[in-house]
Amino acid sequence: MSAPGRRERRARLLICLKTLCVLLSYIALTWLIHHAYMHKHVPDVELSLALSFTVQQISAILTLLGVSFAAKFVRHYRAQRAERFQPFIREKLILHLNGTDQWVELRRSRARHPRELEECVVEILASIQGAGSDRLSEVAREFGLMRKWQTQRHATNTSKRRKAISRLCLLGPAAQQDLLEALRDSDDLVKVEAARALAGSGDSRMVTAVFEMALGQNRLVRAILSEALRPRARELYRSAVPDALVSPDPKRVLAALEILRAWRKSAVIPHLPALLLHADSAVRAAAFHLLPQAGMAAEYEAPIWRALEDPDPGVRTAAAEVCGKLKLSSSLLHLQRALHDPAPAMVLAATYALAELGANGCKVLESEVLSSHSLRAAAALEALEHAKLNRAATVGM
Amino acid sequence: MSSETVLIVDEAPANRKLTELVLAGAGYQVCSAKDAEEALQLVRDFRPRAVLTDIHLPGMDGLELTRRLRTDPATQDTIILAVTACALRSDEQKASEAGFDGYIVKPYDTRKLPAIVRGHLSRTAAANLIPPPAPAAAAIPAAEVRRRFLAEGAEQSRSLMAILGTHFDPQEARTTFKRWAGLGSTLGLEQIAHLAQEAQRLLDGPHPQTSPRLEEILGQLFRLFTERPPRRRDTVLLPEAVIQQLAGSKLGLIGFEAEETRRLAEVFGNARATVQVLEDDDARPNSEALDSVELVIFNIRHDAPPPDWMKRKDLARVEQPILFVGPRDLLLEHGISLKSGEHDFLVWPWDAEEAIMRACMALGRAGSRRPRKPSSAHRSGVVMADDDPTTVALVRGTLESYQIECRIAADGGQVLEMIAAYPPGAVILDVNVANIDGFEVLAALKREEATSDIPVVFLTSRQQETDIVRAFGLGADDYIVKPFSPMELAARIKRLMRKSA
Repeated sequence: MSAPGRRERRARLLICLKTLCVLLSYIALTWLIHHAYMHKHVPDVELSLALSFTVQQISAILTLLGVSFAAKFVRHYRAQRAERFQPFIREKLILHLNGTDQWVELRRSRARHPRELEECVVEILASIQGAGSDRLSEVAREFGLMRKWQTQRHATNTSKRRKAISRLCLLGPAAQQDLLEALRDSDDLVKVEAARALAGSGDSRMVTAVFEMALGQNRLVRAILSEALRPRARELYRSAVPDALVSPDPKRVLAALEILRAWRKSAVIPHLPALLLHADSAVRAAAFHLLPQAGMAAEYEAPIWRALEDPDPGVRTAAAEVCGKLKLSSSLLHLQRALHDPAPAMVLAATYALAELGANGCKVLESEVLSSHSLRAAAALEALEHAKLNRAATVGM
Repeated sequence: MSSETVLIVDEAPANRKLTELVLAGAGYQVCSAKDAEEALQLVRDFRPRAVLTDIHLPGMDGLELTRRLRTDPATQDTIILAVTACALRSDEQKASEAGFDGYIVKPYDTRKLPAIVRGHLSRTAAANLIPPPAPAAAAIPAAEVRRRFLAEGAEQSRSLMAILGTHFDPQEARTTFKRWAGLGSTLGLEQIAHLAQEAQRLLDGPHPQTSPRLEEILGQLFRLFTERPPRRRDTVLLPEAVIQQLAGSKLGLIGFEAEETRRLAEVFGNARATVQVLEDDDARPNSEALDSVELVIFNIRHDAPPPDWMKRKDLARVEQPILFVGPRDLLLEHGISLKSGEHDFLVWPWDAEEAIMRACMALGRAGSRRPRKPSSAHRSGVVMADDDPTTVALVRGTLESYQIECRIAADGGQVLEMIAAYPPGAVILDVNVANIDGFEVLAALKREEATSDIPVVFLTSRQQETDIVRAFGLGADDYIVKPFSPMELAARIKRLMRKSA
């Protein structure tokens, strides 16, 4: 079973256990009330149990109401305090980050209103960058906020960890070590938050670490991190990408190729000829998908023709698509043959590729429209329409 | 305006301050001393035309001070007036014997004091052909008049309440109410004026002294007289004439610490003037930076030497009036121009009223020399609209630290209102603002000819290409994405404001 499946199963089990615990505690509480008090006053056992259950229910409802009111009161109290003190603290912090020494006032605020000060520091840090941000990070370090967040980062409660890491992310280089450690957190959001902060730090070592971490993550996390890493793509092409593409683990290689594809940057892909002949079919297919970004070279023609006859339909389809995208007129006969492929996806890819090859390709498709093979005929017609639309759009420009 | 210097010698700071304000408002240059020793020093340095001294001073008294001044050939012609609260016949005689030219009993009438001083000065002025100073409209500071009115009112209303059922004299009360109604209305204390009028009407009815309404009105009046409005530090009540003189003026600050700069910005902001920090290098005579301001306020400090152009005595080449600020000893050290009365000075520690009065006088003196700049050049400060309090506080704090006033609008509509009332030097907008969004505000500004040249900067967390393209398409001058660098924002705003000016 996959890791997400296991996690979901565990979460369900946890919910069942919690429900069972509540039920058992209800029963135990009812029994306790009955045994300790009710049956002494109500001789009838059934009536005593019913009354005990009622008392227990009322107590539970009152407790819940009390907790709810207390929570609401605390929230209201905190909001009031924030409204009262935060403007002053904010003003002092802004003066401080603009270069006017406010340590005395800030220390006083730290002593009297630590929560409000922390919130203000976080709010302002989230809004600024540059020298002001550095000065405020110094305040966070000096007042022990960083230490507090570092401790919270190890909490068992996930939301606490997420909150802590989002705050540590604001501290810049000072919190890099914590962020690096957070890349190994069990929670995806914590990892993503830390990785994005590290990717934005501009430190090559950190960017490489994030890239390597992304290779081992699920597709969603990888997609998010690909975007975060995009600005550093050139640098990664030189540093981390070559190593990732020669990894003995085909999953890592595949992940790296997917990230490169997501970046959509024209570049020389390291080890590409070897990857086109990789033992793993998924890697081969992904490598073919990258060919348009790498640009066509004579050395790639032979692998493309071979790939059009690859046993894996995914690889064949990828090769056919590449022929269309690169407008390889020499692939006309190969694609014509590919129209007879048993895989429908391959047939569709071949027709679209032929449509890209201009008049000669369209001629082939026109003859296929009259074919008795319904899939080929429909695919050819669709590709021709597509080509016609593209031409009209080009003329219209 | 006259530039005659008057020295005030009084132990009580409040008395010194009041006299200073009254005489400064009448156009005199005023310096003050708290004792006779200090006064002697000042008389030697500044050669004042008149000395107003209390008779009872700590250490050397006023009589001895006068004797010494009279015996010194350099100061024997100085007009010396005795000011004292103990109006004993013996004091008057002693004063006359010591050589005083006149005698003023405290509490004196602030409206008459300038006339008394002028009267004494004009006696000798006839011989020296010095024209008397023009009477000033704002001879008595409005704040002082108001304070006195409230203090007297509180006392009188309490007395009236005490005697209401017993020795109440309706005729006397009518006179009091009439005065309150008139003066209250003049000073803008509408509630007091209204209640006083109502009380006057009640006096016309039968048995006013037993009227519960009259008692109630007196109670309300007492509360109004004793009520103290919350007052910020350095917020001063200014006569309209002063505001008119300073409004829209640009004052250049040289050599001030950040805290003092901030305080001056706040003080002059009350009078709708703006301040700009001038670096020593930029503030050379006839430089562009110096020419852009109407008054130069120069801080002379112990820890920072004055710039070369001050040492070279190039001050005469500076067209703008200069107000020197600093400790007395340093002012005296650089005292050539001070003694000549050409430049004004402000002795540290100064307070808000004094700073405004001094600046007003300096500007007034230069008013005939320098024409006012056209109104478009008076666009100052920034109007900002953002719904995030942190961003608002950040931008305001940062811009104010660069001496750029920042006005905050709650929504898009208010931005347009604020700009219509006082056109700013630049506008900072968030895309998401209440009522009218940032793009619409920008479009409205660019539609109007009067506001189309005001630079507009977007400060927003929206970083989609479409938003950026739309903003520039509508005529935005810059687009800054959050998180932003406050200092970078200030630099961009300053550049745009400079370009626009």
